[in-house]
Amino acid sequence: MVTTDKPVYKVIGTRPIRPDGIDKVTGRAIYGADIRQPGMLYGRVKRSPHAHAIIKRINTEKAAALKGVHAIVTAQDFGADVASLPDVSKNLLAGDKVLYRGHAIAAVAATTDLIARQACDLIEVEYEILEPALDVREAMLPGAPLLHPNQRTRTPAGPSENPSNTVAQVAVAFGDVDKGFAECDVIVEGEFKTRMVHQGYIEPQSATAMWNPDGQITVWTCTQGSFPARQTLSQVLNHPVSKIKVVPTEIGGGFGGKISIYLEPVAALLSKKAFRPVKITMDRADVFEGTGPTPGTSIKAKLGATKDGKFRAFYADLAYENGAFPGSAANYATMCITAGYDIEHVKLDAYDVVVNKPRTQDYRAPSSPAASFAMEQLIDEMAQKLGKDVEELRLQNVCREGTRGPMGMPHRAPGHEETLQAAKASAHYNSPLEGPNRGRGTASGFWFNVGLRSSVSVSVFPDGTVSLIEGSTDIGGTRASLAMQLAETLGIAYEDVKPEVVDTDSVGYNDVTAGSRVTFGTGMAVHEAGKNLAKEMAARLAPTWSVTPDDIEFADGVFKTKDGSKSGNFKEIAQAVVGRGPGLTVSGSVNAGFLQGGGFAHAIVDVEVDPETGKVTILKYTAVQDAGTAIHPAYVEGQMQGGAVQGIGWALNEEYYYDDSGRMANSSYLDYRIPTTLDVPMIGTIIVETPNPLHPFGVRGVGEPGIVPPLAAIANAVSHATGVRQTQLPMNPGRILETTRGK
Amino acid sequence: MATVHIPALLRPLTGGASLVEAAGSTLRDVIADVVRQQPALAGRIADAHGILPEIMIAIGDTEAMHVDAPVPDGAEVWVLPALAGG
Repeated sequence: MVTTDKPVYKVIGTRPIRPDGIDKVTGRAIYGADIRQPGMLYGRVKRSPHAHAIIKRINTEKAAALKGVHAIVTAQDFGADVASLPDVSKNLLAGDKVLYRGHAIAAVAATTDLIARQACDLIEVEYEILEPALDVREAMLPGAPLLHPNQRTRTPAGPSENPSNTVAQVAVAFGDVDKGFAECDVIVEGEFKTRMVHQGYIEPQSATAMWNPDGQITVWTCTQGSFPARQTLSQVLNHPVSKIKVVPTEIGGGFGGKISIYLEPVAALLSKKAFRPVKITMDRADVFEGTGPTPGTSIKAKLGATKDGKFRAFYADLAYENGAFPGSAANYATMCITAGYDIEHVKLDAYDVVVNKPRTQDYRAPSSPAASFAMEQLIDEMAQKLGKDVEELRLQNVCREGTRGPMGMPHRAPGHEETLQAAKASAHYNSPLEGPNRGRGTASGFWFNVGLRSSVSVSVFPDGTVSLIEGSTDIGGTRASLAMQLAETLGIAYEDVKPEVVDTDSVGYNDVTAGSRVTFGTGMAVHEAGKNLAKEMAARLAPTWSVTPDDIEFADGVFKTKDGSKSGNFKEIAQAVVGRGPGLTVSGSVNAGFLQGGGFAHAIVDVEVDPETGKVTILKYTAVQDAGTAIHPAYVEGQMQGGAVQGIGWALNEEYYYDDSGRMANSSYLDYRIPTTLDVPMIGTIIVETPNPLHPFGVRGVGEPGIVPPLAAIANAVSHATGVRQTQLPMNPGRILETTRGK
Repeated sequence: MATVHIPALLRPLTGGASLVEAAGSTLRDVIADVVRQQPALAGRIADAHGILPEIMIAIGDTEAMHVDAPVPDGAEVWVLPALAGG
């Protein structure tokens, strides 16, 4: 760990066991598919076998007549009041047109899953099949099959004259890029392509809904955000938010893919019709074809520098697939691609493009890995041309305090320089790499991280321990990271805090568990609740000590009078003022804003490329990342390692493999190759701690930046091993052979 | 006067203009002056309840949490699209 100045903490920085650990390793934890309710029915969704087609007719008569079928719903059951979220409802159940293979068309609730499946097969759908648009660049061309015939491109000059699959052009410019390139001695450029990949969470989506006759809806679901799910349900169903309770179950991975909802409103509508609870659980093919992967991209980029290595100008044309509906991460990409560097002249043109694939969703640091794949390869190539050490070149151009940041405003304590210095000084970077067909690559990556809104409540038990009630679903160990922050605030032991994640009726509003925000944003709410609790306890203690509350100080877990005549630790005082008095509950609620300060990650990777088979073997991988302050270092390391492994899969093997009709040919884990423990070495970690000035304990989000650098780092390593630059993912054996044979 | 930076996503509403010089001592006043000059931005940055959920605003390098935030003379005000992540 590389740490700059930070306070001495008692709990923060330790590695206690997680509160939910025993339940999870013994199988007692309740995940989405574990929900059982009395009289529960099983739901299934009928999906489109075509990538692009007009629905001419849906006939549900035969399905409805099947014994055991209790309800069938189609898009018509949403009614006409979904205007506020039309694309969401059209994605939940297609109306007049299917826009990708796997697009939901209807759903059935039956007494068994088998009957529900049989009923889906009995639903008759008549299609008029249309040609699909599958490639992002081809979909942008005039004459491409149009997904939404009335869609015009939003451009800085106004809507386009003709309909287009390009939803929006985002144009960003700083300085004068033509002048900048004219000042350059060396220019490198290329076109880089990444494929659509899935987040690869192990737990498929599952939702259970009960629509009571009194209008109260309860939904149990494995979501990244129970409160945003409640809001979407309210809008799609046109139902009061106060009459919807979302109960979050444990969640077996999300990585951004479980922010949007797919099954919840459908299960609710089925329940409303059947008067019984309905559970729908996806199978793996449903997950691949019916949920939101991350976009495939095509990025044309150009970087210019002076002969002494100063970056002067950068241009990129970035095309991101949306899938079937507007809203890709292309705009984010414009804010990530140059975030790590100080470049005076920048021009970026980004395009959101709809194609006949599933509506894309977030995946750890959405947009940034593909952007880094382009940028960091150009930097590597620039270093080669200039004859410079690539880490030195990055450091020469690194962003610092006050440098124009990713959105134009100045960076604050960005931490990229410290991360690069830690990488450059690492044993891995300074070790020799010997042997044929081997190469070493490095790359950096950035993600914003956000704060958003969080609420918690804290109650004191009579024995002086405390409960922590939170609404942020726990994906990455945040029960522990939040309990640790409360323990640090109150000066008590971690084991004296009992955290629990509750439903949407039981705590104040919490935004999604995403954007690497919970340990940061909900941590701020926890810190505030801790301060409120100490203040309330001092107020209750004052009469006992015959002083005013202002005469009592609280620090390091000890209450004492300012004159030092009386004192007691938290537990003693809690037992006195709560054990013998009325109950004590306080809350902490914050809007931590959007700007968390961002976070940088870096990767050093050694590979060996088999010239006969094209297989790339990861020999050694070191992840370096700025965590601000590592609350629980083991969990920080876990996030870094997880991001690295997902990035390795993305770089080497993963892709949605489509045939010309728009059918995904590898929608199972047999054919969609995510890395296993046999595919990757132990991922080394170096945690950099550059405390974040925007958080009371200096926290930065750590969940996302780690997935950004591996794509480019591995491509750079392969390039050095083979002498051939890899501009297209995945770098699977076929592609390696195709690009290196005869070189 | 403050210099207000318009994000790329909203520039289709400003004819491509990326900067607006606006008067006001609070963010509320500055936004009102921006909208006076660029009427198509009405309701796209803030409404009667405050800053829209899909918009964030920074004054200098600090995020503004409400429309009553003071805006010093000569300040750079950044209107930015909201962020989240995975």
